Amino acid sequence: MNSYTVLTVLYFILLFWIARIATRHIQRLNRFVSPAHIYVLSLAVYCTAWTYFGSIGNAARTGVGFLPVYLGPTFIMPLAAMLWVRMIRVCAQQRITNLSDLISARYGNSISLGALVALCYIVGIIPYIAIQLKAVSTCMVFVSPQMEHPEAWKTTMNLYSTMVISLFAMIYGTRRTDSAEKHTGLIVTIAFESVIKLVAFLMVGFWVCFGLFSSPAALFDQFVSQVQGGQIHPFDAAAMDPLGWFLAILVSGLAFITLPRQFQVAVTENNDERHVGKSIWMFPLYLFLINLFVLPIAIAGRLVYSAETDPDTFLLLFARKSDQGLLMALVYLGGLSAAIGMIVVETIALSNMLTNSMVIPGWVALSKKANRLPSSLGKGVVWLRRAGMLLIIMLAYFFEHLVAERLTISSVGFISFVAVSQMAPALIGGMLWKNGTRAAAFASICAGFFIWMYTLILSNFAGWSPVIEQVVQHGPWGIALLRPTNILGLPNLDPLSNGIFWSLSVNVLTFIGVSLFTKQSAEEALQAEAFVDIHKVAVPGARQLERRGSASLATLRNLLNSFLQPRKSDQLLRNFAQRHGIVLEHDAAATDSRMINFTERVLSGIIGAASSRMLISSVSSQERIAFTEVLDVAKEQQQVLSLNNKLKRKTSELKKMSDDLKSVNEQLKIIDEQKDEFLTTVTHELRTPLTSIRALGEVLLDHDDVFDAAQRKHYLGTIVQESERMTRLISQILTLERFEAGRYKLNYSSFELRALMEELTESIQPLLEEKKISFQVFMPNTMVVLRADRDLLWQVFYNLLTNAIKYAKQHIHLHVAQDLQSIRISIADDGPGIPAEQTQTIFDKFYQIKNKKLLKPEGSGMGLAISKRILDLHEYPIQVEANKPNGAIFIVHIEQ
Amino acid sequence: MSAPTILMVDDDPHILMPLEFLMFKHGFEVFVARNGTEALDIIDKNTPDIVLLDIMMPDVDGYQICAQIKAQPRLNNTAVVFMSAKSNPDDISKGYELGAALYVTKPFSTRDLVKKILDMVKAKG
Repeated sequence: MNSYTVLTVLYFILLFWIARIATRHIQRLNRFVSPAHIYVLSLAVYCTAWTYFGSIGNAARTGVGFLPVYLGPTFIMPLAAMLWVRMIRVCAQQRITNLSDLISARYGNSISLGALVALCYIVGIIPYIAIQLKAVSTCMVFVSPQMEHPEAWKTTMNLYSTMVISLFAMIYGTRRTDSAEKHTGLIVTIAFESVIKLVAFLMVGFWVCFGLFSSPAALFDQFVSQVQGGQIHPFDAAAMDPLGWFLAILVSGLAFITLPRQFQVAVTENNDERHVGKSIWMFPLYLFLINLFVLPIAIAGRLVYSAETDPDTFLLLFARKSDQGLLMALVYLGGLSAAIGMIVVETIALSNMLTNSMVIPGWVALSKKANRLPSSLGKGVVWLRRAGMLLIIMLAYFFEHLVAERLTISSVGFISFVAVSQMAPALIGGMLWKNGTRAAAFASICAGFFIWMYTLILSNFAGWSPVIEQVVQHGPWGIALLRPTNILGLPNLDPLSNGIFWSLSVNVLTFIGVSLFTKQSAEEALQAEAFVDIHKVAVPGARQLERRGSASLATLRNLLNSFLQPRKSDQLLRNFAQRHGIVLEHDAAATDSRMINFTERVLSGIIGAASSRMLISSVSSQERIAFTEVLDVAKEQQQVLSLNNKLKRKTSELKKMSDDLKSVNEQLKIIDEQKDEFLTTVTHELRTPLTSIRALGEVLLDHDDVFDAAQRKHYLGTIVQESERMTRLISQILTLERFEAGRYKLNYSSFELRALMEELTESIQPLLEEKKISFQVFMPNTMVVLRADRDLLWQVFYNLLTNAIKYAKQHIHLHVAQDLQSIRISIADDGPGIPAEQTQTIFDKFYQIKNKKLLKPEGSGMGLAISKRILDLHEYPIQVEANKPNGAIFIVHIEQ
Repeated sequence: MSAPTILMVDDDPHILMPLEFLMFKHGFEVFVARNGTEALDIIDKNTPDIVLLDIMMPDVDGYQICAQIKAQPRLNNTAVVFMSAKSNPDDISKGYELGAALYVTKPFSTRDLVKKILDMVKAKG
């Protein structure tokens, strides 16, 4: 019995003990250690013996070539966190506990897909578990004293440790039937192991850098000088290939998401979504810390130990070299922890997948055929899981003995990573893209996995058969381009990168391509919606719609009794009924569909969603139309919603149109009224002179004998005058109409203002004389040339002058002023002036007519209106100064 | 029998001219007014048998003059005749509501108008 055996036994006891008290006293524990930290440390189960030994071995050979494995998760953390939160919600909703159930559920609860995924995972990860077992035995052998039969000793230790690890997994990995229950004890143990790993690593690192060598700088200097001196080989430059790095980082990142153990700790065992957020920075921190001393230790190892020493063991060697018992013990335990953590969690996850996706569906299918309930399952589910764990570990054990001797941790690790990455397109695509179909998932996983086997596994079996040898060396059927290690002869791709590249590209392309060409079943579509829109689906059990059919209470109870204690199943059913106000009649009566849904959910937690569904449908008379109907209802709802939106938009558009029409209508009404008013006024104005003309004419006709020449002349003259008045009115109205309709074209010419004024003066002479008004003109001496329509301007000034004369008492004058930019022509009279408030309205048509209160000299009242229009056409503003009571002044501004 | 009196009110002198001649020819005593104020003045001082009213006038319009006439009991027997270019049915019925004996739209036939006025006078007896 050596001390390390004791230590090992004690350590195992410690682990068991931690798991036990953690399960019982988790609340108290959380006062010392925050649950978020426990969560992050449990994520560190990612760091296995590969980190502990493999990284250093890798670094010793290639320098920084170990980094991609840790850069991958670091870079993908944000995506992972986002996906994990969604997965946590979906899994809670649908009682999903493992990856094969998840993928199977997403693609319409496909049992075959679930089985495929489980199989791929098992095949891909057993080698990895095997390597961890090897690491365990390496550790143990390292600390044992020399023995006579080292091989036998090693085998015994191996077997014992494997048994104990299995035991741990079986006990703490399946506490209850309902695997949706959290395994708190397990998680806390894993977290504890992560701490040991980190502390041990850091301590050795410190000792190497500051104890063995005086400082990290000194260590590096020595290494560099020895490389240059030719005493040691430099690093393998091929490791720095960028494409290789990219692919390695990519596959590590994808594996971080698709590894069953990561899913188990990140999603299944998660208690609080908020922890995920914290892990985004905390976990990369852990990775950084644990990798901090990898390179220094590797370099130190190269310096200190001979070239034949297995660099994977540098950590152990240095621990021993330090002669510090504590350090050695810690590193030993750290190494054990790294391996054990991985083995336990991975085994639990794989066994879960094995039972839920392969064994139970098979069993249920067989029972269905035999037409009986799988009553013999019973609490056997728990033992089934445990058996599964044992099976998997045994498989790994045998694999290790057969094959693993020759393989490095690092290479096996990567091969495993590539295998699990094949699930990434279906998984990640399924979580984010609604159109991913089951057929696509199936095809892509098959294709990817096949290429994985072809490029990365086949070559390892070259020695087993000459056929394989032939294919590996020369390609299938002699086609060199299809050689497994270098398909299509792409340059710069080492076999691993070749495998990564081809398997992932074909996988992704297949997934997308097949999705585009295949249709989803109704159930797939519903699930796609439930998964991708998980943030929108607030109501748990949204699938409740789907169930239709009936089952008696007795049937449901019997079903549950197959897996749970009768008391427990009865209690579950009654509690649920009570909470939801369902009245439970006697056993044989058909129950509420909610009871059926509940039973299905409970079963999902035990045997997985797909099997649970199968069972429920077999016991209740189902109508399979339910799904399509639900889909139709959902589609209908969507249609109604979008129709509603369309209607709302249409309504507001129509309202706007109706408002527009209303305002146009208003405007038309106004125009109509104006037209009416215009017509009324015009007819009135035309009728008035006509009345005189007619009356005068009739009288002359009827009483001509009485009239003398003078009277006759008077009457006839008036007739003519009135006729002229009518004619003038008509022309003015037509002119005004032309101006307003915009039909008038100004006839521009250049002319001298003085000449115009002289003409005007002459034409108003008769009026001036008649009314005895004096007229004064003030003009500048210089020539004033205007460019305008001369005739129209003549009309304007004629109108203004005659108006002035009409209202003047004794004087009118015209004043022309010129400055640099404009000419001002003012016409003033000494009449009564214009009320201030009317200075604009005087330009309205019929102003005089409408305002009969004014003195009404001869005129049609249209003159000013026409003048204004003419001035508007020329764009000459006219200003009116209401000079009351000293007379009005009209000022026309002409811009030069 | 004393000569019947007629008052003619219109702001347009050209219509008053022939009408004045005609009524004078038919033996009326003719009063003319060019606006409402003048007209009311004349009414105060006389009791015309017929008042021939234009409606659209600058100061007081024909309707108002008619209302004033009808408000005075002294002028009960005075017949009001509207003559206006306003031919709207509303305008016409307003005139009759105010108590007009006749509403004639311009342009009218003088022959017609004279005949109707003579009939009115005869009816009064």
